[in-house]
Amino acid sequence: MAHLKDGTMSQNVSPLQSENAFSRLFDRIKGMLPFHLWIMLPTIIVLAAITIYPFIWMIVMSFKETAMNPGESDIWVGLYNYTRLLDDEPFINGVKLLLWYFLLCLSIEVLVGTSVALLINNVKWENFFIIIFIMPMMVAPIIVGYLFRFLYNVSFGWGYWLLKSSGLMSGETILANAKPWLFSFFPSTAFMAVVAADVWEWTPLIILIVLAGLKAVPQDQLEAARVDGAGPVRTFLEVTLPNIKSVLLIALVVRFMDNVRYIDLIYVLTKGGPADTTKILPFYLYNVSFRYFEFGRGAAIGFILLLFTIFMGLFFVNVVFKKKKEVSNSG
Amino acid sequence: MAKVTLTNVWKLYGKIEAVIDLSLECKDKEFFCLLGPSGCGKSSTLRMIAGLEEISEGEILIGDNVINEVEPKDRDIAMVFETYALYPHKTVYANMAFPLRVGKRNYSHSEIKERVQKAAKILEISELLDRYPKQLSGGQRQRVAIGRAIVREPQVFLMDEPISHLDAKLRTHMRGELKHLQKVLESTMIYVTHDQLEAMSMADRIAIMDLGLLQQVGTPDEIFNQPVNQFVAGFVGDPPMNFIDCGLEVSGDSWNLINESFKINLPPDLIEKFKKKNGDPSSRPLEVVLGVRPENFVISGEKARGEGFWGEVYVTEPLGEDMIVDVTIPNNKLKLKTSVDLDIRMGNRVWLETMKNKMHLFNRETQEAYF
Repeated sequence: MAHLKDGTMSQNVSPLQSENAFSRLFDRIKGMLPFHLWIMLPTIIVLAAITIYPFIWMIVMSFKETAMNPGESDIWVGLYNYTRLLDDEPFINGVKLLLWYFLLCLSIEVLVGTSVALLINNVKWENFFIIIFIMPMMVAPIIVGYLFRFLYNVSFGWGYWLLKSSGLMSGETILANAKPWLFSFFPSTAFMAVVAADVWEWTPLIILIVLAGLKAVPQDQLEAARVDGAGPVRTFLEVTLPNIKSVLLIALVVRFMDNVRYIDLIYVLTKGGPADTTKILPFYLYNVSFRYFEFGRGAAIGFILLLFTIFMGLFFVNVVFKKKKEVSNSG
Repeated sequence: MAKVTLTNVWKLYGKIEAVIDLSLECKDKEFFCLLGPSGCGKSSTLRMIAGLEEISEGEILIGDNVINEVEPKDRDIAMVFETYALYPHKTVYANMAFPLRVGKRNYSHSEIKERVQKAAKILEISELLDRYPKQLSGGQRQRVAIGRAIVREPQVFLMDEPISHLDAKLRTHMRGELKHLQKVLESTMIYVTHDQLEAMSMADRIAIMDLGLLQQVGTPDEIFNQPVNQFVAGFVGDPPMNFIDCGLEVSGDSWNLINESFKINLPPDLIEKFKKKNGDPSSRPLEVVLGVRPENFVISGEKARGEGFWGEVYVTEPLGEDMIVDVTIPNNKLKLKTSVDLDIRMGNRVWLETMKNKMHLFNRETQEAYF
């Protein structure tokens, strides 16, 4: 026994050799993936667990009618969850409202945000203004919802009082299914009220991003434009704007992606009412999945929303990168 | 085209005086250089003429109009920036057309096209008109920047170190090009630089500034041969002028420059020059600084005629045709320029004589030139 042991010791399992075997194994494992993938592996695993797996499961779920009671099992329904959306009135309404929501929020926020940024750029109290202006952004959307509910309150909200006493509003409540004054093709006043809250909260983000962009506009180009004879409007359009274009686009993408999943403010302010006039698609999705518990249909809506987001995201990014390419091509 | 006049102009940044009581006149069709080390106020002066900086005090006139309160775009000037300041998102053509499109006068499309093409032809960038600034080399960008300035045919060109970012070879080339261009366009040009070589080779007249103060205005020849003070003498010329502290002893008609290593007798014409400018000196020895340019030494291996001094060769720097020789003398080190044929090595003892008619003499206290 002792002899055998000695023999094996000396023949096979010398410490040096075992170390070699171990490091060979280690090298082989290491060689299976490039180094950077090894480093990313933990993150990839976590991401896979919390996003990729649910994502795939969501797609699978969208082809099923999910069972909610014990003892029942899911029913495979094929594309039914998708096809039924075509004549799902609230869904189509939700898409329409979501598009309105993008259009109004993004355009007002970008317009107001850029103007304010231009106004306070390089003025004496700039930092003070920035602090004042970014405050709304720091407030949780739920709180913003409650805040605006108070402002819009018929009995004591001074937002209501202001609109009513100035004659801008004829209805009995701001959060009504009535057309806003002068803009009869717009969605309801309730919808505009939600947009107002969104604009109040998120314009500061645009201000901040555009201000950062303005700081990066080369001073010499602005001076050259001044000497060349360009007025302030021309200078903005032809020198400043092209220089802050990519920053503006990034701000747009951020706000766009935010809007797609935006329900907290609406949940507090109107709960989608009155008469579905503020039920934008993400809010309808929330209702379908978590109030009607139709997870299959909810997954289908979610998947469509996701495709839409990816499509729009790619569109925005392409616009940014096309610009970049144009410039770098050159080199 | 027009002259530019500055009268008692000040530029203050808070308490810092960037330009102090500056009065200048740049004549019509003149190539005028503002020369000085960084921080001397030359760029501030140019930017005040351009209207990019407010004039703290004094008046600036273009032609006969005071332009203190006039917007840059209404001054009828064009400026070329150190960084070129091309619009990166516009093509070369659009960059050059920009001043014509946005300016006060309305140009028709065909007129703009004609003018841009004409300027492009002058600058030899016709084939680059469709490119973007990023696609151009430094020299090409610089031409585009000049092109953008010349399309409008302004009264005055302002140039803020336009070629200082180019490599040495291209810079030499562009010096000639710019000078030629200015003569062809018959334009008034104010050119800011810290490079004395640029100023000397291109300018009709040079204004030298230091610490916000104007030191001297004159033709390159005047600046080089009759510097008014030690700063101007030391700033112009490469390698710079050598300064040797010494005393001036006057006994009757015999004037001698004396220090521990030499005694140099001043010839009568220099004494005349001194007297004409400064009157009779007092009898006690004057503390003076002798200034001699590197090329104004006679260098030899052995003691020659008489009035000179010994030095030891510290190092030699051959430059092809010329050679720069560093020589140590007691309490000082001199740079001399001589022919490369001379057989001089490190450690040699050499005999130096100054060319007396090329000597400069400065007051040690005020640094003003005696002659």
